[in-house]
Amino acid sequence: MVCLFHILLCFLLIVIQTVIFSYFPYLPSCDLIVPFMVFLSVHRSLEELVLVSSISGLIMDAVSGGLLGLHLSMYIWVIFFVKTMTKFFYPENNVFRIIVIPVVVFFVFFFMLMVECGLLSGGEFKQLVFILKLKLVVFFPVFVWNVMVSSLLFWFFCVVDIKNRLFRNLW
Amino acid sequence: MSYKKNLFTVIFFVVIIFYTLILFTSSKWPVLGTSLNRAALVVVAPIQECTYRLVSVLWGVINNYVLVVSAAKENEVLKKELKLISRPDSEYIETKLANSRLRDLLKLKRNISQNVVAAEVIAEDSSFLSHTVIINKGNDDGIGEKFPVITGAGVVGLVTEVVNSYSRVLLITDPRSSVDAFVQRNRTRGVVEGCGGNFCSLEYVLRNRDVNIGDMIISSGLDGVFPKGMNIGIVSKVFRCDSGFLQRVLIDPCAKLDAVQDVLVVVPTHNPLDNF
Repeated sequence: MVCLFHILLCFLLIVIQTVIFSYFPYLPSCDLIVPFMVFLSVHRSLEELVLVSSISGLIMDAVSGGLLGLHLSMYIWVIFFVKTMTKFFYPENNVFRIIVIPVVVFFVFFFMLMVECGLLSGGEFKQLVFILKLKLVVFFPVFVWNVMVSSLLFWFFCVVDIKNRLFRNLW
Repeated sequence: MSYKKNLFTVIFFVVIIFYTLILFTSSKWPVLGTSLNRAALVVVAPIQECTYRLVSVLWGVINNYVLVVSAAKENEVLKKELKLISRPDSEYIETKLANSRLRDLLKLKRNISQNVVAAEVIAEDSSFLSHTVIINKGNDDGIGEKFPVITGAGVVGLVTEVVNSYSRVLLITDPRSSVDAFVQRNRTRGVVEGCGGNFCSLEYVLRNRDVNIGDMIISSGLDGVFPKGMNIGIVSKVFRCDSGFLQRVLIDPCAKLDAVQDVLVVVPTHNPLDNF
């Protein structure tokens, strides 16, 4: 039931991302699923994570019209990345909560740019380096914007989760 | 318990490898994702359109009611004065802007000998790397794949997927897009390819060709898809490396692709798929 709720929430985030952001054409687009995946990676079990990330990744791949498997593999790598980070940091620690989003967003950008540059360069290393440099300059403001929005969303999920737990204990 | 946990860890790693293989395979053979994308368009586009309409209504309410009420609280007299004399309300501005856009499209429609279908953009792409939009016209309106999409300002992109009432348009800034073009000033030919962000690049231009910042790039019509002479963009930067035969030209598209709302889909007299 909780898993179904998370899948529906992912679907809602995708609709918000595709329709509501189009009302603000001067704001760069932002992947709202990423902070949600980070939140789930900290709080939910591995089997639920695989299911939610697979379904939301598949929907994102289908909706974005990009490469099949881009979001599918990106979200699973994000989960792996965050799960690995939780081996070294205590997940409820605020320091972890502050650094995890910039690190994950950087990882996501790097992953997507490598995939895209690999395609554009046709496998030529020199070309790949040139395009990567160009892209890093172009996408730096987008990166900053993504970190801000994702951090806000991640903290929102954390606060809602803490309140839920408090409410459950009081009850 | 431990056995179960280990099993899930192994499954997790298998899933990682499997998904990465899917990505690798689809980057080599992009056709694999097409039917999935088409199925998703059928399911997601109506929901996107409903949300778009709902948000439009809410946006109208916010603009026309809430902001006016809050302004009224601040200064009732000033509000009346602004509304009546100095500042037209947002509905009027919206109507005026829509009127201007539609006039541009009508003018363009008269200049084009082929049939055109006017459409509205209802959703943008969810990913920042691929650049596509969804329009509210499809098979039922006579639109097919590989039909060019334009605005009064210039070329927008190409229809890539069509269902009954919706179509997906690949914008010229998408890395998978390419348009045969030339520099208007001296007819230097090249291929305009998307390079992410809001830019395109003119590729395969010989190093010794004269291309300057500010030059207009127009479609050549030789690709058999886009009409000849449509504005594509203006040269914003020229990269000439120390070595190599070619130069790289960065183009700023004429059509404001990040804020495009009303478009025209050109229905060709011959099927563009015949060219492929």
